[in-house]
Amino acid sequence: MKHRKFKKEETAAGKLFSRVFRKIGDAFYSLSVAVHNILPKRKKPRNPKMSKVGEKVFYWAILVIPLIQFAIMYVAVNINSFLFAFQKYSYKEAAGTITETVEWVGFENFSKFITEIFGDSDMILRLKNSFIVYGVHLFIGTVFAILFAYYCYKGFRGTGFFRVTLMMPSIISSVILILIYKYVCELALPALFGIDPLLQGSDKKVFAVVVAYGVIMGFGSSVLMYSNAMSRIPDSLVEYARLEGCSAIREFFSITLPLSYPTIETFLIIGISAIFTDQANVFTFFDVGASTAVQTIGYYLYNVVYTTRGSMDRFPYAAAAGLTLTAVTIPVVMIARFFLDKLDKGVEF
Amino acid sequence: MKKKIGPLEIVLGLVLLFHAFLLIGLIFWALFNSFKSADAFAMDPLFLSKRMLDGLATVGEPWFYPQNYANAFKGVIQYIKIDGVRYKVYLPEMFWNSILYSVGCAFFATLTPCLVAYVTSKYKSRFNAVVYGIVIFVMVTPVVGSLPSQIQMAKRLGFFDSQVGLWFMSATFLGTYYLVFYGIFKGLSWEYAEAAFIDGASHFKVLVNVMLPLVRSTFFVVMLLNFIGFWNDYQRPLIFLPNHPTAAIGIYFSSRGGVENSLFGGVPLQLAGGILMLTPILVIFIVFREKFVGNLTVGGIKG
Repeated sequence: MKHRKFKKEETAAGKLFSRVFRKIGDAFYSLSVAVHNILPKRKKPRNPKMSKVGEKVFYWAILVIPLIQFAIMYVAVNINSFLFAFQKYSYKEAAGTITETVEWVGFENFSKFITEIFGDSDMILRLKNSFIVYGVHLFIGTVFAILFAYYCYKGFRGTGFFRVTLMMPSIISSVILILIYKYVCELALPALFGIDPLLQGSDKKVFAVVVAYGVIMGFGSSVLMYSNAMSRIPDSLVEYARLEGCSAIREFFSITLPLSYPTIETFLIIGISAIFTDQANVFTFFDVGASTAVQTIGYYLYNVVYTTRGSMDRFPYAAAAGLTLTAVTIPVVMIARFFLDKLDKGVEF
Repeated sequence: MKKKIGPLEIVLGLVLLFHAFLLIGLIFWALFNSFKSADAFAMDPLFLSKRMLDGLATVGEPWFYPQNYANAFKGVIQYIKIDGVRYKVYLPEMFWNSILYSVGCAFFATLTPCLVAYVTSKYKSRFNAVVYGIVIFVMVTPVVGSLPSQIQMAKRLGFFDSQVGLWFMSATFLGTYYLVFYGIFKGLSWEYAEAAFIDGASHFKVLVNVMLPLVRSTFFVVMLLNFIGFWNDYQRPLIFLPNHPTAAIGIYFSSRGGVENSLFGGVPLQLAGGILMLTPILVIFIVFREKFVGNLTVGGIKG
């Protein structure tokens, strides 16, 4: 096939323009050559081993802001929290102005909290609820999360669909999910089965409904992390076990579980360290007015701060409570970690 | 050859099916009832019964009431006080606050662990062990009740009630994502960077043009996960952003039932507000679901 040749006719004005532009371009090029000759010659390409100073400057330039942030929002916050625990804030109003007074009260806030923990039945109940929530998450939540992760890792039927449904609660706001869950428990299920509203009546029943929510909605990210950890297990190992006649259940206990153990251990330790901060969604369910029978320590401490956030008078008590619980949790976490490390076979793959 | 179905697959498959049924059932119930009129919902909080339809027919009222969605924009309201003057904040402004809060916080909460993980995994320094140790220490050392101190610190430094202040507060390298990025950077060959150095690239250019593009997929997933977390979070803005209520706060308080809610349609209106807030996240999740489910791994925390 012949290509049609098309030659654009250049007018006299066009010729003039192109000549002018060429002249301008040439002038700029000459200028750049002149500047290049004047400036000192460019150094040789950098050798990473030679630019140690530049490397250090870059290293610290990257770290400086994160370290300042850490110094303020972690170190200073915790030191401040420590000091808080030994203080007392009081407010006096005179002639329309409120004066804030801070005084050092030694261990008064600590003794108040410790007395409550051992003597106040409400506080004992909150403590008990925190342990129940942790126990349920550990024995039901974690066990099912590992099993579900195994299901997804093996690519059994419907894996793609289940990955999405398991992940859904992690991406939907707990405010929305609890809004829906509450109305389903309060209105839809009673209308369907002719039962009493589930979030009314005995405290035990209400607490069970709240804890059940946490289990149903709590799989998301842990299943994802577990199944991704399992997917790093070499296929050759699994193939070999299969050729030796290993069943799916045996494979789970003898290969999958030991080789994904470091990830499971990480989540177990994070779980223990969150015992006293876990609010178990009680605040989202009931706002500031939850019955004591369904409160956890995490909810209680958040509620103390939230309800008195306008002033500082209850903050020192909350800080003392937090410090006391931190002092209890740290050794528990360390001991748990020691024993959990012992279970690790330390297999490299 | 067909794959044999074992007992483990059957049992777990059934449990997973039940779990999926519960979740989808909840969402479907909310979506359906968000289109009902308040009267229709009061007569039948499940779906559509003949009794409800007959009851509504006698008063000539339709059950289908999509106006709930338009009303949610007017009916979900938060009150703020600036210099003693009370202002109303409507849902569109709350959405804008949510976008500012979630995008800003998510970006800095992703960039910080990524950069710190990069330098501590790729540059030789004794300080690397200190940074890694800090991360592990903070992960396994539970600090309970530092919220009062955080509030005081935020007030003193001007971070309180400031979006930029919360971005700074979120720019932490502590947490699981540092380990995620650390693992990935450790596994990346340094030869790419060396080739760039030989061509005259600076450390900054190597970071921006060579190393960050190599981890962009993980960066994107972590940022999306962070974005979703911040978008859904209502407790931190509730305390630290009293005059910039986010959509999550608006929906939270509307679910407690305000005067406006009863005027504009009760439970269906609250459900419509919830569905509105859920939609952007659900769209992001559906579009990027493949990225969500396959890009993150966390190892052990032996330090």
